[in-house]
Amino acid sequence: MSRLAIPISRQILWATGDVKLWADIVLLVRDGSGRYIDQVFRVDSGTEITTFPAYEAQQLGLVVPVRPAPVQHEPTGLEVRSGMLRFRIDGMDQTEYVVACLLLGDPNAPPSPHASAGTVPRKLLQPLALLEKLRFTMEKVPAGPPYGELVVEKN
Amino acid sequence: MPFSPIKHAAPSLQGKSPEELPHGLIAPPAEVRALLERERTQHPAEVFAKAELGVLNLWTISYYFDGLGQEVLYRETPQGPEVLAVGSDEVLALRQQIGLDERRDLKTYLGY
Repeated sequence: MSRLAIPISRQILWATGDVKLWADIVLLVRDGSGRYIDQVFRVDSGTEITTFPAYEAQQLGLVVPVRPAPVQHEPTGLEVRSGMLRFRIDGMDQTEYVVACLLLGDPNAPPSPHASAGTVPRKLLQPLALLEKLRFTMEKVPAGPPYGELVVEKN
Repeated sequence: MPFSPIKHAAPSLQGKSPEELPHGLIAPPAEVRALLERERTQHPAEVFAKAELGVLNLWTISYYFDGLGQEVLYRETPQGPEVLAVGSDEVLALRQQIGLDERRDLKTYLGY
């Protein structure tokens, strides 16, 4: 299948009553042994670069550089390593995509439960890196999902 | 209708390790059910009917886990979400145990 429609999720921000909207996509990430493990990413053009927790990359057997880059990830203050993700998109055809990503945090320890929400390494997919092969559109049609949908199609 | 800020469960769960966070079947709190009824009036009945189960379960999960930064794997049920795994270690272990087709019946909440 070369088209995937992802319903947009909506949630009340409990403390203020504001509304959060997002779309998550299931990627089948190829691990170090060649198996595909499903991982949910938030589609986020604002992230500029796809991000993934270094600890989970290590658990999946992905290539994780031993030494972090000599900079910190500014939004979170976490250490940074450059990595690559190879994946298929669950619900679409077998095409494998490759994107560069930042591996965030300590690869040898899960994030502390005491870490503030803003400093937790996130799974964010930068869709603009895939525009050569995929088209991303957002729409809301009367009989469709109540908050609209993100449509992913092969070019 | 104006919204009154709601004291939800997540702040009291901040700092707990994944294994200390709620697991199993979680009944939707009254606040979630009230919001759901309000939301129902905002959409055509047939459109909302298709989404209602997902909204009830997602909002219940977010009531307990929003902002904790812990990934949650859960199964949607009419009685509320059944939490199967919390945190990256539990979630990855469960994903490696069960087949992809079964995993497709589960939902993931990223916790942010």
